Amino acid sequence: MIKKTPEFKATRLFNDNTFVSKNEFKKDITLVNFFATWCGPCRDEHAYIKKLSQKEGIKVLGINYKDDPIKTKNWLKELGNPYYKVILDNKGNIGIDWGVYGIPETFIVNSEGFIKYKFVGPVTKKKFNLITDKIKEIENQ
Amino acid sequence: MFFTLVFSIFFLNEAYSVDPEEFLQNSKLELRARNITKNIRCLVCQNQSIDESSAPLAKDLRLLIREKVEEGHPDSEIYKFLEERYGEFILLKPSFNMSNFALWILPFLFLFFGIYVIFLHNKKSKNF
Repeated sequence: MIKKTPEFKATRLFNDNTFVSKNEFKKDITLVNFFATWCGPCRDEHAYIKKLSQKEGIKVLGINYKDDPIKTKNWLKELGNPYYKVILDNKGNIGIDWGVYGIPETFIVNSEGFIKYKFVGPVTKKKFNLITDKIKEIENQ
Repeated sequence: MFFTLVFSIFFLNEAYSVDPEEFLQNSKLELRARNITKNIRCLVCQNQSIDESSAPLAKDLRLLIREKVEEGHPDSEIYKFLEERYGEFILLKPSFNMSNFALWILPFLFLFFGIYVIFLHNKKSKNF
């Protein structure tokens, strides 16, 4: 899949600044991860999301889908925060804009703001390897 | 008992899908929105339209469609918006174009071929 990232604005989890998508996705490869504290598979994949966030040249944007911000803060405190920014999708509209139909979902966005790959479901060991391969592929383009 | 069972099977799902609070005040706009939601596949349940589905995503999409209808977006624009995000699969009746030409035409070709084979078979049988 190759399409431009949708344009949207959102509230941030850890501060009052507004997230403006137009200002993002410009330099590095970004992984966009839709997650929620009520979603079991999101907890399962979290270790892999953390591993991915430690890779050079990669940043991970967390989109917290229909969740309670207080629970999310505690969840990230407990499991670790791999996200460079966490934004809130209270009504699920950002999810619709990205074509999400069930979380967790992870997108790879290149440095020009194009969605190159979409992974539905939790990141497992197999998917982790696949994602790192795809990232390498994008880096070499 | 039997009546209750039949009633449940046929009407219970309907009762749990569209929430009356979702309805638009303007009946013309509501009818338009309803028609669109009947043509949009529920991606979570897949064999239902979002009009029939009680899945949370179906509800979000129903609300979004009603919002867009109220804002004055034409039907074609709303279908395009959804198709761009979820692909053509979201349409319960896919459009007829070059990429799915074979899917539309092949069943009819097979039907005519089948009729032709039966016709030939009957003709041969009569000759014996």
